Amino acid sequence: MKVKLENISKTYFSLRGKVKALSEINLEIRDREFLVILGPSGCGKTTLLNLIAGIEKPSSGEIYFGEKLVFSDKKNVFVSPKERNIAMVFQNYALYPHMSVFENIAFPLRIQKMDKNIIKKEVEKVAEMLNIKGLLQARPYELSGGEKQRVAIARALVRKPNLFLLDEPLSNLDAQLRLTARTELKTLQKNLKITTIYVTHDQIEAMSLGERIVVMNKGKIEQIGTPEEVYHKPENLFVAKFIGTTPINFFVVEVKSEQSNIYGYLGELKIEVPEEKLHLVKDQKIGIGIRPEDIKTEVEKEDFILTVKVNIIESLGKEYLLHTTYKNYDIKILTKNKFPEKSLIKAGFSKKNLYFFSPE
Amino acid sequence: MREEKLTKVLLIIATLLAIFFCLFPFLYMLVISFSKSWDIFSLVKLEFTFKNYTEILKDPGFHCMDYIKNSLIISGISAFISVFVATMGAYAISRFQFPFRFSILLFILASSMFPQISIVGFLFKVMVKLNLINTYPALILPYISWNIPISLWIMTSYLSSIPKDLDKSALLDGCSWFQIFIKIILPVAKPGIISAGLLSFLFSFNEFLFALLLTVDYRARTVPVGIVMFQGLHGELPWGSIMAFTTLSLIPVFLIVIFFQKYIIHGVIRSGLKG
Amino acid sequence: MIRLYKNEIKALSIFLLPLFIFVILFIFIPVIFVFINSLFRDVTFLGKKFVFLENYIFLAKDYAFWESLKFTLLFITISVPLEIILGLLFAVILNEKIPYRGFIRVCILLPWAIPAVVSARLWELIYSYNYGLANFILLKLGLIEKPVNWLETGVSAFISLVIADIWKTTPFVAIILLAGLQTIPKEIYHQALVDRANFLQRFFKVTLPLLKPVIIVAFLFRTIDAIRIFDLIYVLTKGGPGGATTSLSIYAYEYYLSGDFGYASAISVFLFLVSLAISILYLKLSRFKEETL
Ligand SMILES: Nc1ncnc2c1ncn2[C@@H]1O[C@H](COP(=O)(O)OP(=O)(O)OP(=O)(O)O)[C@@H](O)[C@H]1O
Ligand SMILES: [Mg+2]
Repeated sequence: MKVKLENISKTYFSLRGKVKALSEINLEIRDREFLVILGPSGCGKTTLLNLIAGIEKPSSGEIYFGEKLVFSDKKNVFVSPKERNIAMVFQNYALYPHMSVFENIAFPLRIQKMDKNIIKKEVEKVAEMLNIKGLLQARPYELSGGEKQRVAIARALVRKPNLFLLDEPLSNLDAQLRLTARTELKTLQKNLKITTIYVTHDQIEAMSLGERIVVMNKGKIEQIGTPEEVYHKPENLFVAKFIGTTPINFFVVEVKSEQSNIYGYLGELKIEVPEEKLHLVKDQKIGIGIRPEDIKTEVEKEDFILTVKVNIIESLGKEYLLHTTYKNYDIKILTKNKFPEKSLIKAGFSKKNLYFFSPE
Repeated sequence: MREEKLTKVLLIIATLLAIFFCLFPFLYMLVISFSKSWDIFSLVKLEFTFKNYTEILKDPGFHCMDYIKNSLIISGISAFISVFVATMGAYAISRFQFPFRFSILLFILASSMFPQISIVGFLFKVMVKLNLINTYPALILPYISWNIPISLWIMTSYLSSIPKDLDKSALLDGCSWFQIFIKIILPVAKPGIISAGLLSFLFSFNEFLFALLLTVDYRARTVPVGIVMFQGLHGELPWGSIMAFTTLSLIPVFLIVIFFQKYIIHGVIRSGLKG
Repeated sequence: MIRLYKNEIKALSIFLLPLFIFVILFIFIPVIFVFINSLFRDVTFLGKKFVFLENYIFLAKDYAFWESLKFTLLFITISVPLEIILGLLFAVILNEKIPYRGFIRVCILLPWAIPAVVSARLWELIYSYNYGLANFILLKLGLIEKPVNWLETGVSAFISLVIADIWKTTPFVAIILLAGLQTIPKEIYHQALVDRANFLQRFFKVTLPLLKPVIIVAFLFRTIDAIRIFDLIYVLTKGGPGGATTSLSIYAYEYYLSGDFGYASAISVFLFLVSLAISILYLKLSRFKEETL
């Protein structure tokens, strides 16, 4: 099922006063898509899911499920969550503590007053699928985090929802389990072909799961794109900083025009600003970004070569993160080679790996 | 080390004293209820007997069992209704965003502190008009109201501690607000409900002023009034019978405290401290 | 600002309606009625007449009323602090790791859980002149030479009431203070132990200051309760001897009984306002905050 959000805003009135949780969200989720919403804590991810599910109401805007209008403030339309046929997995799973695993999974069907035998069959089917058949008689408090998560997913899937919402479902698991659960989730979604919206603040999770990623910040969408797009073509500094294993290097440099070209000066390096990025220049300045992993220490035919001083070496297991300085710029470099501290080394990078941003 | 030991000994002595202080009137009550005489100065006469019990139970004129029955029914019904009503209100207050919800809560809480004497006159007049004097409803109705604030306080604090995701999940599973309340909130809040219910029961069981003015005889009179009104047949107070009756009527209270002490303590803490 | 939708308003009103009905019908309307009634001369068989503040003016000049206010306040200022001190002792005991804690808790709860008039009856027998436990023990110990008529003289009646009230309500104070004690982090005690503070030093330097807010709450809670004291006095002294132990509630009750509803209402209103003032203070100080919802 396709889902469309138009100009969705949400303002909370609380003791703190007005809190603008979401502003002017426009978003289209394609049928059967696995869409990931990525953003730092407090950026409004959960709020967005709640609005789609109908648990809360937007302050303004419209929401369509397929062609059907399910919310509009102007037309005073509100379709209740019950009628939306949506399933959601919560961050802390929200299993009903007073019911057995079987009853938890069966609950949505019981509410629909389904036949007892059918309920039993359906619950067993979904339990089989998620490998929790042995747990059906257990109580939620007896389960481990991973088991709880499976039960929550089973409860969500059992009534064959049109839309599947997951709110950081893996964040309470340990690193090992998170990895396997991630793969399983992906396979599950592929097989079931349910439109899925997945919320996370973990960019690695987002990159490996999402067909498309929505990067959010402070209640606004910063960029929508495939994992490759948000990684290689970040539209702004926030996205560039947020995506990538280590934060991007970012410099604000002076620009000068020479003949018909415009150049940014990073120390002695003279970097040409391409035509289509010229609009980013403000007050004779431009922001330039380069990822630490794109700076090479084995210099061959890089476009720009510079000598940097190694200050600190951070070991990341297989790789090292070098904190270096060049002139008065701090530069981080990700490399497989180890260098002694305080040494001077050669580093280089290519034109094609550079990002240009407005200088703020 | 010596100091440690000293504190330990002092602690044990203090504990024993505290237990004795709390229990000695009850022991005294038991001893007198089983003795032929209640005169502690003639110790010799403190002989064991069931006479006091058989007397008040055999002679229907004492109505002891009537009082106990009335008390149990009136307290039970009023506790049940007040906790149910308060839990509904607590659900609304903890789950819905509506104007003045906190003020409403405080307003009702403040009313639990009103002196009962201030409304008893009005209550009496109303019950006379409604022809309810000396009936169960005459006590049940005001008891429900007077138990609501404390139950509301306990339940609001309990429901606030239940994760709201549970409600949301149930909402998506297709529940209406009422289904959520019945199928999710009530079962999950059971410990809180038991606490509030027991406190309400005890308050109704122990209430005296309303019962004194709104009842007339054994048909609606409760234990506290019965005990105060207990008269001997020949002028002097028959302490043996009074203590036997007291012992009998305290059995429900003792059982509740012994079996549910944890719930009661939680209830008192929630109602007394912070909600 | 917060928009509620139709179905929500419906659900909300159904959840709140029973609550409002009961509270309004049997608490608020009666209170309002008492306020109105206090402006009337309303004596049985004499009919009703609006007299505005006359009852209150009379109240201000009523010697017996001031005496009963004095008694009530004196009773509070003596019994409540004693209850707090004793309750604190109980709480400290309950907070220690001693065997049979469940049993001890039951013992301490019992006096609080029983009807006040029942406890009054128990103490009535204890105080009895001819055959009571109090005289018996004191005589045997040689502390008194002849039996004391506890409930028949002003001072001894006052002491008797205070002791009975302490017995009845200390458990409640103990439970509240125990809850407060249990919120004090263990680390603080360990630190105090490392600093080689002994038991008493730990109590006065660590426990007491940290417990202060809870003590204040317990204090106010008890004060609200004690200011309306009725049951105990009704059974033990009926306000006597000679009106020496007439609390405000007893005083109002006597006027209700005599049929003077107007004046009784005025006394009730006074008592109500005092209670309200203390309970507002209590709600302000207790840690119940909107954020916890
Ligand atoms: N019921 C509410 N009342 C007031 N403010 C709220 C409410 N719910 C959320 N907010 C505020 O809205 C903003 C967005 O919250 P939201 O829960 O959507 O963040 P999130 O992206 O899910 O964060 P996290 O990753 O920590 O879960 C936050 O500033 C939050 O404090
Ligand atoms: Mg969230």
